[in-house]
Amino acid sequence: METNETSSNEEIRPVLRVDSLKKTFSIVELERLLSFQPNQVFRSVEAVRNINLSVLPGEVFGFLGPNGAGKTTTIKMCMDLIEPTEGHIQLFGHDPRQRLAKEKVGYLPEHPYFYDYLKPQEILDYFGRVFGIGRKERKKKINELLDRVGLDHARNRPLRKFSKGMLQRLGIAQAIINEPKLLVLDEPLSGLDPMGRKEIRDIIIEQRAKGTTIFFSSHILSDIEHLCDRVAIVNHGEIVREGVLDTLLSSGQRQSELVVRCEPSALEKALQFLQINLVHLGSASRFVVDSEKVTSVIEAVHKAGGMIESLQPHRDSLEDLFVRATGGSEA
Amino acid sequence: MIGRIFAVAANTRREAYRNRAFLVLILMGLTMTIIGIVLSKLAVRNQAVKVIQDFGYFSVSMVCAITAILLGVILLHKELDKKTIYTIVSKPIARFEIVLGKFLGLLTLLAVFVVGLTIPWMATLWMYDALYVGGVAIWDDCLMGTFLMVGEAMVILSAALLFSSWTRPFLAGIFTFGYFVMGKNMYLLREYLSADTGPLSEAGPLRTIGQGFTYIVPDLDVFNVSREISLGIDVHGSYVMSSLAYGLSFSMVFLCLSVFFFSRRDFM
Repeated sequence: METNETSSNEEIRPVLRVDSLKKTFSIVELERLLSFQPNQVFRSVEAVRNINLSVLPGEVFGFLGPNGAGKTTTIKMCMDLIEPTEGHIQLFGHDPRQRLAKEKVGYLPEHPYFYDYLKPQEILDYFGRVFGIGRKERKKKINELLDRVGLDHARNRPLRKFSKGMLQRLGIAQAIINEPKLLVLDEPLSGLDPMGRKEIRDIIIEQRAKGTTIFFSSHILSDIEHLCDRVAIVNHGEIVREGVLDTLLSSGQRQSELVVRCEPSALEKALQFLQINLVHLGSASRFVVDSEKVTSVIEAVHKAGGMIESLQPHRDSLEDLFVRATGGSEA
Repeated sequence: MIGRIFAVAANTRREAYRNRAFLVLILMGLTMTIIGIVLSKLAVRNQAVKVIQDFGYFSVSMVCAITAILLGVILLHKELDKKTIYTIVSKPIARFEIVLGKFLGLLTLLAVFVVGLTIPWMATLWMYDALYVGGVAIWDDCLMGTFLMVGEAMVILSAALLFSSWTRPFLAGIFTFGYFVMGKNMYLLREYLSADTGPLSEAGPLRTIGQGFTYIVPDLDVFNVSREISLGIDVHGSYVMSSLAYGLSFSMVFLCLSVFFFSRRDFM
């Protein structure tokens, strides 16, 4: 695993700390008996192999990985929904099963679903009661939250008539009803239309501005890139990259992007030794080369009678990083 | 703690009574009352009240038992199937509080359900008794019978929660129904065990197994006073209290086991 932690991180007490987390599921497949494979009736699947991570106060931490990498299982273990097979989890220094820990956390599960026959204000009232919020404060908070997530118009509509986006917004509302210090969001932006994504993103940004630590998993790399301070990429139940996003993106292979004005065939001949892909844009050509070769490229371009129009460092996208880290697994 | 348990109970009740299945069960109970009236027309005049009385008791008790099985299995299953359980388990609430809240919510709902079905039954009974014959209906027994129906529902409900806490809903439904049928027939096993002759009269493994069953399967016949109502025998308050205490002891054990399984369950 490659890590890029800053030394100051070690001095700050993490909000969420996960050490050597493992989860193995035992699966019983009785149908194997019918296909005469009795030795395969009982088998175990390692969903999470060895996860170590720390989420620091006030940061937005992105947790990404391909399908089946172990993201949701890890989150569920942190939220006391699944018992880890091995390892330790600490939420604000407490075991995640303790009330002291849970009181400070808000959680939005993947594809949230609520009681069909209840109305949004009834659901929020229920969760408010569980948090021990008083009746008056609850009423005020529910009105504020419904307004904040744009569900004020649907306050008397049964939840079975809600769209996916509306359920997602209600999910966010119930996750922040206790004004959590840590907000855990499992795929909060998946399946939403662009407008819905923007609304949820705005709420995340607003929560961050309030000082809430945010830990979220997503498949949508552009959102992770846009919102996160630090990321961890998980693959096959293990973290394969973790660190400050900017550092991770600039720590890849150092490359530069050049735009050159030159006659195409002369340029291709001059740069034959590099084996690069030239993109011709009218009379100009664009290409990316390793930074240490820039000097020789400039010389070759001049010799071919060309002119350098622009030269700038080429930064990896999160997608490049993701593909490299996961070996091209599907996101 | 009490506030959280009551919050779960109130939410369970609210979700249940808006469920269409619950509405169907209420209609079923009311239909049974109407069937009782129709059947009474077939009886000779002074037996009409007894038909309404006996058939009404049977109807309310049966619909109540079915409701307890269905609600106990369906509502917990829905929590797991629709994954609404994720949002509640991750909140600062202990798992035993969730189980207890569900149980109390459903039990109070069933109590209201029994009262709701008893009122039209009693009203019909009163009308027939007052208009046609007079003095045939045994009001005390019918009222005591209503308390016992809630007691039986309590045991069935806790058994349904117990099975739902560790297995799939379909199996939980089958197990609960099987348990209900066994419970209804436990009096036969008790009779065999106390008989001087028969397969269970002599000491042996079969008798030991039979005796073991009396400890793990509640005798639901203690909640059934239909014979007493039919024959006009008084049902004493002390009998009702001891039957409710018997049911409560089984319910407590079932709830403890439900909490044990529910606390160790992974929510996938």
